[in-house]
Amino acid sequence: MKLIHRLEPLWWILFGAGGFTACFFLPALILGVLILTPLHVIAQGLVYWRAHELAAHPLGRIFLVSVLSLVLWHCAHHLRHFALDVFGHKAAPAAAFMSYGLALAGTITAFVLVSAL
Amino acid sequence: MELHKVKFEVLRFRPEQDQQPVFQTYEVECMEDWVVLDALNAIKDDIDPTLSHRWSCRMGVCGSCGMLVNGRPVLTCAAFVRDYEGTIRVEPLSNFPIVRDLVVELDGFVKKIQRVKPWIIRKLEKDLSEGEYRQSAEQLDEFKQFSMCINCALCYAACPVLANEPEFVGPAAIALAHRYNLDSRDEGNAERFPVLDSHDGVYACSFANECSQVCPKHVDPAMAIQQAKLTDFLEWAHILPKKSFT
Amino acid sequence: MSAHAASAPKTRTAPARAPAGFPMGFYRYRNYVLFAATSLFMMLGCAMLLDAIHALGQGEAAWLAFQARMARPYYLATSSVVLLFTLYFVIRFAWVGRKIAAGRIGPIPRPPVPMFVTGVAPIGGFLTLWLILLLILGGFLP
Repeated sequence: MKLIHRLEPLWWILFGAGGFTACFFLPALILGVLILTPLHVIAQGLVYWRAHELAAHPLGRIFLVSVLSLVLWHCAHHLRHFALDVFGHKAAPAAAFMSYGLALAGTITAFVLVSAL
Repeated sequence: MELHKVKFEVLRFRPEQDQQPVFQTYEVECMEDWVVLDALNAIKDDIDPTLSHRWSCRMGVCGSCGMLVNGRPVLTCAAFVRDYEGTIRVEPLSNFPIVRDLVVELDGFVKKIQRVKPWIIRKLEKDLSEGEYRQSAEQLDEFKQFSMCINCALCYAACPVLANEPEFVGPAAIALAHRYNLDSRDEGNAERFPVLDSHDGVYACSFANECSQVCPKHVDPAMAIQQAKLTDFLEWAHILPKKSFT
Repeated sequence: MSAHAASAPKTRTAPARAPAGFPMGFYRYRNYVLFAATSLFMMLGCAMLLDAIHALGQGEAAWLAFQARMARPYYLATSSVVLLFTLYFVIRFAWVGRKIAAGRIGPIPRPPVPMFVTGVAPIGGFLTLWLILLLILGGFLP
């Protein structure tokens, strides 16, 4: 827990960077990939071969891992603080380890899945 | 001027007789232009002399009369009775232990203010013969807003973080630290850094912004805290040295 | 020694009380809770996007199956809710950014523009980026 406290500025800058990343890219990603494409509103853009080409491109890989990872770290930090607001001091270790643990798991998952493309 | 009866539900706590705080209702004949503080003084003067409450200037500059009126932290000298409907509920500030009735324990708050060393810190004081410290209007503008704090502690009462983390340094203290860090005459950035950098410092804030909403002097402590967070990160990461830039 | 302890305690104090209306009883605290909830939904959005990447890595059949699944009403509703919360997050986060940009940070002076611009301009920037990304995803841009 002491280490977590010593690294507070780091968690905060990840929160900030993740927040900006979410602002820049998340709405379009959700709209494009999860809503418009399944609904065939935009059909040709994400056909398999093109989607794979975009995602598997070196820049695409970096983009996907960075965006998803940063957004996850942002969410983790926010949820950790909200847990403190609601549950208090006694929840501090659980809130920190669970939230940052989840972000770490997500980052590793993103890395593994993108590598498998 | 017309008088009208207004019911006040006031939280009482007398440690010698009350196990826990209880509400007591008073009916007060209020004049049209009264503030809640006038009503409390009328209660003390004419109805119940045992009621305890803090007040002083009655014009919004001393910061003594902060209380919860209908759940919201306000200066009671600035809360007009006519702006409220029905029974008006008056309670002591939240997030502070209650000493008696509407009086709260402020020692912790005062200690936090002291911790941030709210004075001009310089390695060397200028000799008097060298004249005064000159400061341009632009330099003053950089920190002036944060210097308007009257230490009324309404921001502490409103902060949801303080409810569960009483060790949080808090909005007023951080805004004050930031005020001095931005002052062109000050060189005390490095001395204030450990207080701001701790997990009870700027990073405990979760930007509820309620402190800025309730501040009667428009200090905007939330703004000071967010700026202090970025400044602190840059200094922690050794991207910026811990010194004042003027 | 607790932050609250008096220098010279004399009488018994009643414990500090939480702010009135926290968390759901007062509209501004409710907005704050909503802001916190955006992180939950954005995490869900990330999970769904990770699912998309997983499907993409499994071949065309998996990718088509993923799209068919996401087109089902339950999933569409979830994605829409995720999108709404993300948009609320963008608005509130831009507000934080405005507060930071409004002051001097170390030697970096505050931008010589009115506060209104530091609040609204980023939204314009975001919208432009969203459009570009959507055009890329839609196949209109290489």
